[in-house]
Amino acid sequence: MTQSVLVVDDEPNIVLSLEFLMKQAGFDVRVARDGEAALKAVEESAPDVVLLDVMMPKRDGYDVCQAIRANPAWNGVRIIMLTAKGREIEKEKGLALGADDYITKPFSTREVVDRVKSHMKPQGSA
Amino acid sequence: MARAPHRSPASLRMARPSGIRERLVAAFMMGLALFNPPLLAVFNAPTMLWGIPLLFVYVFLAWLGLILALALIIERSAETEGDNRAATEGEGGDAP
Amino acid sequence: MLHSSTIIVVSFAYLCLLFAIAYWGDKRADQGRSIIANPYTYALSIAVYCTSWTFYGSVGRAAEGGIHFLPIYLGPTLMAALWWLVLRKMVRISKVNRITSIADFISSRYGKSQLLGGLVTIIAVIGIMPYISLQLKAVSSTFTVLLNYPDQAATRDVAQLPLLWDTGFYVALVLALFSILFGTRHIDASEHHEGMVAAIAFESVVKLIAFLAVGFAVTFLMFDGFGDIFTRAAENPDLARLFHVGDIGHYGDWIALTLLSMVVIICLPRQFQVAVVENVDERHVRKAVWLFPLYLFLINLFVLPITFAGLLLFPPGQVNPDNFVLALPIAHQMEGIALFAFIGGLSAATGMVIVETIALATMVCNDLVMPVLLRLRWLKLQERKDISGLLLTIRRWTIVIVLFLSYLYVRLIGGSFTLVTIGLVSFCAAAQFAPALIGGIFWKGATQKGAVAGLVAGFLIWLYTLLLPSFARSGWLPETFITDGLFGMALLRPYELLGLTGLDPVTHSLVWSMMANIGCYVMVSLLTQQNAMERIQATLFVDVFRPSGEHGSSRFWRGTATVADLYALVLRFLGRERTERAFRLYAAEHKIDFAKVTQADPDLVNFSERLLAGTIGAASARVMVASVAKGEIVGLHEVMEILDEASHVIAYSQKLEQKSAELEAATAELRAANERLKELDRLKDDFISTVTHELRTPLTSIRSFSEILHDNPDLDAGQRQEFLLIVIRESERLSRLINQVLDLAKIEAGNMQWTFTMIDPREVVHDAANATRQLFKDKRIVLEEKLPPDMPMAWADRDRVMQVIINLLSNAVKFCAEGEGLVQVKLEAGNDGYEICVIDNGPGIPPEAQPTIFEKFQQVGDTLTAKPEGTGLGLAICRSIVHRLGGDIWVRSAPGEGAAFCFFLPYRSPE
Repeated sequence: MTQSVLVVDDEPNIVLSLEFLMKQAGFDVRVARDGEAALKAVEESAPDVVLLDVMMPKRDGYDVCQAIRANPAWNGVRIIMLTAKGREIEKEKGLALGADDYITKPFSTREVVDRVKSHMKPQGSA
Repeated sequence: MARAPHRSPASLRMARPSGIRERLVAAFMMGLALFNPPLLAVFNAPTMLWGIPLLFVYVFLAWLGLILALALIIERSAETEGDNRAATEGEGGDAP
Repeated sequence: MLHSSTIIVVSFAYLCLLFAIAYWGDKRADQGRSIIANPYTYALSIAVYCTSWTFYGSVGRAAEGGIHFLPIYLGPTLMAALWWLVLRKMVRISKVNRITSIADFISSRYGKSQLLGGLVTIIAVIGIMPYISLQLKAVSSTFTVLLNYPDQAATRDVAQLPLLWDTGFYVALVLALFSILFGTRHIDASEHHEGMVAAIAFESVVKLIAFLAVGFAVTFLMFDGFGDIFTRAAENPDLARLFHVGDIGHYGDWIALTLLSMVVIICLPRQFQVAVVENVDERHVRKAVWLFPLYLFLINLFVLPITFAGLLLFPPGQVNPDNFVLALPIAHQMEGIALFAFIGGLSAATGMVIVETIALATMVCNDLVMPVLLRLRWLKLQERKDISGLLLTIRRWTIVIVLFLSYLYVRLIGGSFTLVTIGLVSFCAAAQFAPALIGGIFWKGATQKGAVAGLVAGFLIWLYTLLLPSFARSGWLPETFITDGLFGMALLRPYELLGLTGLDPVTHSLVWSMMANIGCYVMVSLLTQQNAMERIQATLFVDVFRPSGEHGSSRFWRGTATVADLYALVLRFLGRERTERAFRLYAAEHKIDFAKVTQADPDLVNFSERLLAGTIGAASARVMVASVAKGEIVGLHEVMEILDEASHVIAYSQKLEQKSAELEAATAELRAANERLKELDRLKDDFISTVTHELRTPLTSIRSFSEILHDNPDLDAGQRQEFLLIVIRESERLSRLINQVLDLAKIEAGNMQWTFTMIDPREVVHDAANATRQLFKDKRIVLEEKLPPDMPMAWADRDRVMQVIINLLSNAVKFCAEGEGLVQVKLEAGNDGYEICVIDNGPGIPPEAQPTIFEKFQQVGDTLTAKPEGTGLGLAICRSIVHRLGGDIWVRSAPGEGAAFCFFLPYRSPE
C-alpha cells in the first residue's frame, strides 16, 4: 500500500509545488484548499502525513490539527505544520496542539521531502 | 497591666453560660423580689410562727437565705476558678 | 452604781486602745506587713455603716414603726450583690486615677471639674452634718443616761444644758482630737490610712459583740427567748400593731428607704472612703459581698426583741426608745452589760465620726480650699517650699470646724428629732451623688453640665423639703413655712410639694429630689456636649477595665517639663521623704537615671500629677503640673490642640483620599494609554507578522519551483514553461507587494513626496480607466465611464488620485465574474468637491466585513472559491491617500448586489 500525503494550503502555487514534490517522492497525494476540505479528506481516508498550512480561510491550520488530534482513530496521522509566520511562539503553539513537526516557508524542497519521509511509518516490507 | 497574652483562660471562662456576674445579678433580682411587695405583703399576715410574727420570721429568713446564696455564689466561683484570674471575670481586666 | 469617772476612764481607756491599734496598724503598714490586707478586715471596715443610728436608733425606729427600721439594711444587702460589678469598678478607677474622695471621683469623671468637686464637697458637708450631729447626740445622751443610773428617766434635752456642762461638746472635742490624730498624721491621702482602718474594723467587732450581748441578755435573761417577747407583745394591741408593715403608703416608704439605702452605701463619703479609697486589694470586694450583709444581719437580729422588751417593760413615754439598748440592762442591774453597751455605742459613733470627718476634711481641703488658695494666693504658694504642712493644717481645721458645726446642729436642731430621722436627712443628701456617680462609671455620654444640673437640682429640693423644714420645726424658721408653704403658697409646702401628700417626709423628699436630679442629669447630658477633657476622663472611667486603661491620660501629655521642676513641685506638697521615695521607685521601675535625664517624659509628668492628685485632688494637681511646665504641657488647651491635630489628620487623610482618587483616575488613564500602546504594538507586530507572511508566500512558490526546475532538468517543456510562469508571476506579486508596503509606510510616516497641480478630475478618471482597460478586456468585463459634462478644476496630486482609482478598478475586476462583470466608474461634481465611485456587480461585501475592509491585509478572501489575488494593502493605501488629500472613502454594498467604492475629495486651491 502506497504511503499517502495530504497537502493542505490555500496558495494554489504552493499546493502545486508540494503536490509535484510528493508525487515525485512516490507518495499518494491528495490536496485540500482550506481547513474544512482538509478534514473532509482525512475523514475519507486517513493519510500518513498531513502537510498543513496555518494561515487558511475557514478553519485555520491549528484548528485542523486540533480536530485531527481530538479523534483517537487518527492517532497515526503525522502532522507537519507549514507556516510563513516564523515566530517561535507560533511554532510552539503548533507543537503544543499536537503537530509532529514544523516547517517554515519558504522551505527547501529537499528538506520538505526528507522531513515527510522521516515521518512516514516504515513500510511493512522494509 | 498589659498581660493581655494571658487572657485566654479568662475569656474562656467568660464564655460560660452563667458567670459570677450573671449569678450575682440574679441574686440581686431575687432579693428585690423577696423584700418588696407583693411577696412581702403575702407574709404581712397576723399569724405567729414559733411565737414570732410571721412577717419577722419571713424577712429575717429571706435575708439569711439571700446572704447564703451570695456566699455560695462567691465561694463556689472562688473554688472553681481558684486563682487571681477569678477577679478578672467578665471584664477582662487584671487584679493588681 | 456607775460613777461618771468610771465611765470616763473606761471610755478613754477604750479610745486609747483604739489609738494603740491604729498606731500599730500604721507601724505594720510602714514595715510592709499590713494587718488590714485581708477581706475580713475590709468587710468589717465597711461596717462603719452601722453607727449610733444602728446601735441605738434602730430600736427607736422599730418602736415607732416595727419592721420599718429594716430597709436601711436590706438596701445595702441588695447593693452588696452588685458590688462585684459596681464597687470593684469604682475601686479600679480610683486606684488608676489616685482618687481621694467621692468629690474627687465625681470631679475627675466630669473633666476634672473644680466646680463639681466644690459642689460635691459643699453638699457633702451640709448634708452629712446632721449625721455627725446624730452621733454626738447619741454619745452625749447615752452618757447622760448611764451617768444618771439608775434614773432611767433622765433624757433631758441637751440643748438646755450650758455649754460647758454639755457632754456633747466634750464628745465633739475628743472626737475632733482623735480624728486629727488618726487621719492627718501625714499627707498623701491616696496612701491608705491603715491604722485608722484597723481601728475601725476593731470597733465594728466591738459594737457587734456589744449589741449581741445586750440582745442576748434581754432575750434570754430578761425573757424566755424570742417567742416569749413577741407572744407577750401580741397581747397588747398597741404593740401588736407594730408586727405589720402597715397600709399601702407604708409600702411606699419601705421601697423608698430600700432604694435610698442601696445607693448611699456607696455614696456616703465615709463609705466611699473605706470601701473605695482605703481598699488595698480589689479582690477583697469579692468576700465583702456576703460578709458585710452577714454583719448587718447579725447586728439587727436582736433589734426587734430589744424594742418589744423595752416597750413591754417601760411605761409609755418614760424612756426614749433610742436609749432602750442602754436602759434595759441598767433597769436590770446589769452594770457590766450596760457599760459594754455604752462602749459599743461609743464604737459605733467614733468609727463613723472619724472616717466621716477625715473623708470630709480631704474633700474640703482638696476640692474646696486648695483650688481657692491656689487661685487667690498663687504667688505666695509658689514660693512656699513645703506645702504639705499647710495641707495638714487645712485638714485639721476642717475636722474641727465640721465637728463644731455638727455640734451646733445637734444643739440647735437635733434635739427634737429621733436619731433615725436625723440620719435619713443625711441619707437623702448623700443619695444626690448617686446619679452622677453611678451614671458616670457606666454612661460615657454623661456630661459635666448634666452632673452639675442634677446635683444642684437634687440638692436644692433636698434643702427645701428636708433641711429647711427641720429648721422650722426647731423654731429657727416660722412654723408656717411647713404648714402654709413658702409665701403661704400651698403648692410649696415643703412636706407636700405640688400637693403630693400621704408620704413620709423622707420618702417625699427622696421622690422629688431624685426625679429632679436624675431628670436634669439625663436631659442636660443629652442636650450638652462634652469638652475634650470630659471625653478623655469619661473614657478612662467607663473603660477602666480595658487593657490600656491604666496608662491613663499619659498619651495626652506631651510636654517638656524638667525632672527638677516636677520634683520640686511634688516636694512642696508631699515632703522630702515621700517625694524622694516616690521618685526613686519610679526611676527603678522605669530604669531611668534622673542624674542623666533632665527632661521629664510624659509618663513622669503623669506620675507626678497622680502623686499630687493623691494630695490635693485631680483638678488642683492638673493646674499645678501645668504651671510647672509653664503652659507648655497639656491643659485643656493642649488637649484641644491634640484633638485639633487629630481632626487635621482626618482632614489630611481625606485630602489624601481625594488625591489617591485623582491618582487612581490618572492611573486608569495611564493604563488605558498603555493598553492603547500595547494594542498598537500588537497591531504593529501583527502587521509585521502579516507582511512577513505575505512576503514569504510568493517567495515560497518562487523558491520551490526554482528548486524543482533546478533539480529536474528533464522536465517536459510544457511543465517547465508552466513552472517558470509561476515563478515570474509570483516575482511580480512580490515586487508589487514590496512597492505597496513601501508606499503605505511612506504615506503613514508622512515621507511621501506629493506633487500638487491643478487637475481636471474627469481627465484623471478617464486616464485611470484607460490604464486598466487591458485588465477588463482580459476578463471580458465591461467598464463604463460616467463623467459630468463640465466641472471645476481641483488642486491635487494627480498620480495619487489616479492610483486610488486604478486600485479600486483593479479590485472591481478581481471580484467580478469573468464574462458577466459590469463595472461603472462615475464622477460627480458637488459644490465643495467631487465624488468618484467604482461600482461593480460582483458578489458584494458582507456587512460584517465592511467596517474593516480598508484596514491593512483585510481581504475579503473567500468571496470566490479561489483566493483572490492581491496584497490586502490596496484599499489601505487608497484610504491613506484620500485622507491625506482631505477627503473620505467608503463602501456601500449588500451581498449579491455588488459593491460601490466611493471617495470624495475637496476641490481645494493652491495657497
